Amino acid sequence: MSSKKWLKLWVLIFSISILLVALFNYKIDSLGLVAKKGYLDLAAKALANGKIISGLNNFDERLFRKKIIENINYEIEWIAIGSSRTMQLRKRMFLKKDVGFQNYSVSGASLEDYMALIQAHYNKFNSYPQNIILGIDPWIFNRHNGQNRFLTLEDEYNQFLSILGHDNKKQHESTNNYKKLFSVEYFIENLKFVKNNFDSGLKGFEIVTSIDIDTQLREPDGSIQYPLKSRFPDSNEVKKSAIQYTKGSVYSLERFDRINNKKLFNHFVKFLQQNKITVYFYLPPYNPYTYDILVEKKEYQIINEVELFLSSLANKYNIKIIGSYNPHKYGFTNEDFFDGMHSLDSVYIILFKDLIAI
Amino acid sequence: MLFNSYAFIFIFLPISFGIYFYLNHLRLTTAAKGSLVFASLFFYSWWNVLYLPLLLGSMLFNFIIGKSLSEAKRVRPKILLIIGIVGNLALLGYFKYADFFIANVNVLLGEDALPMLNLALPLAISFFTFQQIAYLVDSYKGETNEYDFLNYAVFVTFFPQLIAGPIVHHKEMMPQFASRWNKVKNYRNIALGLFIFSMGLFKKVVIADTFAVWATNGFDKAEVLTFFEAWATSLSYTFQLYFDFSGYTDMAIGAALLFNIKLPINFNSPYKALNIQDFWRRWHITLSRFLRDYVYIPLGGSRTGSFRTHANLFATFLLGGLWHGAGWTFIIWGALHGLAMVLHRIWSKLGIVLWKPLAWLVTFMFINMTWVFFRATSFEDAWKVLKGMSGASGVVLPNVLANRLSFLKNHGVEFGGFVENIQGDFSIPFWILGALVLVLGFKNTNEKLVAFNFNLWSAIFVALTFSFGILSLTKVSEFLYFNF
Repeated sequence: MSSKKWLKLWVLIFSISILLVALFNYKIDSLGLVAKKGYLDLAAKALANGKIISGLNNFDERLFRKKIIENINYEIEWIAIGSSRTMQLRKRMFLKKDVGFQNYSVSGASLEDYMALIQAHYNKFNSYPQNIILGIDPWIFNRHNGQNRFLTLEDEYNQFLSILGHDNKKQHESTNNYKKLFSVEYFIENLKFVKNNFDSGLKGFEIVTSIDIDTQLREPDGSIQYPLKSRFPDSNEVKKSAIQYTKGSVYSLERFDRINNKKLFNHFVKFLQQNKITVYFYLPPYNPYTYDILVEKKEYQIINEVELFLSSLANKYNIKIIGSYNPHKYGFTNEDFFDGMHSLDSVYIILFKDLIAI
Repeated sequence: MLFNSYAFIFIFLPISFGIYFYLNHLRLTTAAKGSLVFASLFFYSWWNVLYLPLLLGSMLFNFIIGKSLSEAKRVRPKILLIIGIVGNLALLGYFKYADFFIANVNVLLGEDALPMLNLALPLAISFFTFQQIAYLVDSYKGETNEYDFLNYAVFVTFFPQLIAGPIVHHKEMMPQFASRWNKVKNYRNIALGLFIFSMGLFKKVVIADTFAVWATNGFDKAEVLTFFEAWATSLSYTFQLYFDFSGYTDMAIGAALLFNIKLPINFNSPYKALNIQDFWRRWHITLSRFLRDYVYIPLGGSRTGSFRTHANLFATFLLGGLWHGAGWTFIIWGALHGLAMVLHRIWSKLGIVLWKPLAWLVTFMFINMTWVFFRATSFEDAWKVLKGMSGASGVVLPNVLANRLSFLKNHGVEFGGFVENIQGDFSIPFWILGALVLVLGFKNTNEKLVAFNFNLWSAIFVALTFSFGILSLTKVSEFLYFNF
């Protein structure tokens, strides 16, 4: 074969293979990145309409939260934003039935997520909620936290920053979702999705009527229910995993040198208050085994430093603090957790009882 | 601009290729050469335009000295050569070693004796400096006859080799740029270039970047590494570096071939080496060649008795280590390799011949362990990995073996996540095994290039490899040798 003919063949095969992958990714789009009416939209709509959802796995949580916000058609007076450590906060734990509440928490939430989600809320309702519970993890103030998942909501984040009067000095790579169509990672993700959801006709989620089933669920208020193993854990296993957690790299807390984002956070809180929003700081406790080991280590001083910083800020702005990273302050034990950093519902119920009194 | 980026593959490369051959087609050969220099400077400036004046200044300085060395004898050539070499080394020394020197002085004299300069290392400075030192020496020897700055600029900046080598010689490049035949599009070279570029892209984005995650977690994030974690960490880096650098070199050779330029081979299956000397004849061949010709031989080489030969060898490797980075871990790495070379020489003279599999194992293990110093950013990190590899930080076996091997608990073996601290899983052993099979059981890309068949199967193979590489580009990552 001549080299010229070979080149033509090469171009043909290359183009076909790339096109096939892109078409497959577009058709399945398991993360709902490009399709306008994908399964994530349907799931978001169902949740916003009061349904309980199961079967959602491995999707872009930020995008999903945005879709939920866009589908809500009732007034929301309370929102909670935090990481997975705030995700189990449910409306029924501290609010009356007729008050609108949504838990906007996303995994590994960072300060950028708070801003982006509040902006997404504003864009939908043209107003801010009256009360915001900020579930604050220490890593928010670690400049090496490695969190950049907020980029899905980069537009909202930039919008909020400009309202705050801050320039976004960070230049981020384009988050053009269409790039994902040409991604082998996304192709594999979609293949898995097809495999796991083939029997249900590639629906991607199920609407269920009860929370008493052994799977991960999303409640209509945005909170999460973990599978039964995490809801009713074996305390010995929890202890083991809590200790093990401190041995490796501790999620997003590594390479901490000084509290970062102080100024921006200050400005952010001030802005919320100026807009007549009542702000609450929620400091999710750690498992006592994890906490005791971490606070002993010099490299995890961030935990103490952030708590002190938040206390002084709360004093300054008259903000109520709910909880503490230190579980001993409230007498929490290993039995109140299902791993090193995630508490059971019991912790939320105890801590948020105080809030009802307000 | 990275070779493994959409911008390079789909915009920069096709445009610079198209313009170069179009201008040549119009017989505007000087303009074509100019377009190549402009494209290369654009490629370089894409990283940081601030360093462009440095590159241009260095080029101008060396061109003037080199030209004077080649054509005029008004000034004593030796003095000119010394000025040239000192100038180059001063530039490299200032940017690369000043802070290292200050840090060491501060260790001796007290923490704040000298303020740090906090200089950022200009991209590719190690490569373009070495290349130009070689040019000056060649000019001194009368092996160059370059009077045209544009030609010289192409030689130094040609984008496939500017950033991370191969380190090329003036005499092996200029005849190629001058050849009339090379100014015409050559479909065979385009096809071969695409083949070798595709292999390189695949090596980098699919293999090296997979190993990179475990290597980074092990070296930079984990506090303690148990036995299997430490071995997985060191082997991951050993293969990451291999596929990263070899991938980069393939892509450089492939991109150059599109322009009908043949870059020298820089890699020849180095992990197949049966001794340390063999390894250095196969790994970063153009650097070894440079160190041999411009350091080892000028020091006296092997002409001055056995002790001096060994000392020269050791010094050359020590310098090679320092060239890779301004840090004591690099110096230790260079010293270990220098020592190994000396021992190998003595060993060979004694006529001892090892059984081949054993020789391979000893060589590979030595290289694997010394890469620990090369990769670690501190002695603590290196010690952490080596300690783990020795088993001194404990042994954890996978939970699935707990029932069958429970008796090992009495010997201190634990069961749990056996590669948990590096956030690995059961795929790690398969990746390591797969990588070993690839580097030992197959011909390398240069060998494949020689025997390349233009048929349907090769078209399918190359197109799918390239597609896979392109589809894996969503996580763009830099090449390791860009840091040196």
